[in-house]
Formats: sequence, structure tokens, C-alpha cells
Amino acid sequence: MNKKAETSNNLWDTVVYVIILVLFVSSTLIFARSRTNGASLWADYYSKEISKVINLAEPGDEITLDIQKATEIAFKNQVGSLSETVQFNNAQNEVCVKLSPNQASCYDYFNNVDVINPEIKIASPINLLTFKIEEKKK
Amino acid sequence: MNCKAQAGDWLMIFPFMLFCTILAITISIGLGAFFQSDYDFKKVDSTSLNQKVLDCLEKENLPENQEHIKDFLENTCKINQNKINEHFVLTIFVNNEIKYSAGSHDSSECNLDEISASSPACITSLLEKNSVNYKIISGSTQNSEEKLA
Repeated sequence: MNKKAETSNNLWDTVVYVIILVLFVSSTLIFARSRTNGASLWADYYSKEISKVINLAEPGDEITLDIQKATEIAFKNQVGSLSETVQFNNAQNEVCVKLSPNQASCYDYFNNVDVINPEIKIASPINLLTFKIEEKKK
Repeated sequence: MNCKAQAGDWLMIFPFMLFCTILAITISIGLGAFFQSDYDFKKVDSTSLNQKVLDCLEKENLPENQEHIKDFLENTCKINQNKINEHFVLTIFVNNEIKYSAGSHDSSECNLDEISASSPACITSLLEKNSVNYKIISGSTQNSEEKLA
């Protein structure tokens, strides 16, 4: 029996198994890390909460909302610019929140009003979203 | 060199890879299910709509005619009819008679929301004004929409 050849074969087998194991574990960890970030869940939450605020608002109201958490996630996920984080579509009565580069969570509001002058104010002292409500333009 | 034994040895890599794949998929499904669970907002949405209609009826009088009621809700109460037809249910009773009904579902489906995910989650409120009894049933079937951006 050639012990050196056998040892070398065993070592080679072990190396291959370890490489496969490391690949699987690292890809699972990367996936897990992206999910625990919770971008999808937070985008869903913010879009719904902002639509609730719009539904309860009257023309003339000025709204200010704390979006510190949303902006932190957007920054971590390298979303283009902060102004893309929250977008309003007055034609569709829709608000979309984007916290990851290629995906936004959108929710409709039934209040027949327009949202104007949306602005994100950085560190005042926390990140804030401000906008105004006005009568629907026909 | 025992070639058959060596070939058998190399073949064992595939069951090992299969085992790792199954493990990775199971962990991914578990994480996905936990962190992507939906934030259920239908009852909140229904309550907002119900409150808006209630506030409006407290200040203004409901017209008699169905078409006028539609305009009244759109222009006076500021409720977008297209959105109601897409994602909501709204039924208004006056003295136990249906005066207005609109939405993506029928208000009779309101009781099924715990059984079926597509049924509306509804809120009912009552208002008495000038000896007229109003009953407002509002429901929401809306889910958030994921869009490519």
C-alpha cells in the first residue's frame, strides 16, 4: 500500500469538501445579511404609514415625518440619492418608498388631494420628510 | 491505484453538495419568511376611510340620489372613487336601506377576512343625525405593490 499516495488523496478530498462547504456557508451568510437588513419590510411599513398620514390630512396641512431609519437603510443599500427614497405620484394617488437599489414599495391613498413640495431635510437633528397637502388639481 | 474506489470517492461529493444546497435553501426560506412577513394594514386603512366618511357626514348632508352621492364623496368628502373601486369597499346605509355601495368587493364578504386573504378587512360605524340613522361599512383589500425602480 502506498501510504503517501493515500494520504495525498485523503487530503485532496478534504480540501475539496472544505472549499464547497465554505462557498455554501458564505453565500448563505450573504443572503442572510441582506434579509436581516429588512429593506423590503421597512419600505412596506413607511409607504403604508405615509399613506395613512395623507389620508387623514386636509388641504393646507404641512406634514413632517421622521424617516431616520429609512434613510439609514437607504444609505447602507447605496440607493442613488436620498430624494429617490420617497416619491409621490399625484396622478395615481400613490406613494413609493425605495430602500434598496432596484425595488420600491408602493401604496395608494384614497384622499383626493395632491402632495406638493416633498423634501428630505438631513440631520435637523434627525432626517425628516416634509411635504404639503393641497386641493387636487383637475 | 484502485480506480473504482477513487471514482466512488469522488462521486460522494455530489450527495454532499446536495445536502449543503438543501441546508442553504431551508435557511433562506426561514429567513425570508421571518423578515419579509407582511405588515398588515387593511384594518388601519378601513378605519381611516370610515373616519373620513363619518367626519364628512357629521358636517354635511348626504344627497338622496346615487349619482349625487358619488359626486358628494368625491368633491365634498375628498374621497377618490377610482381608488375605492380598486382597493376598498364602501357601503352607506340610511335608516337600514342601502343608499350607496362601491368597491372591489361586496360588503357581505367582510366577515371572511380571517379565512381568506383576499377578503376585505372591514369597519362598521353608526351615526345618528337629525333623526336619520347612518351605517357606514368600509373595508380595504389593498396590499402594497413592489415595483422595479
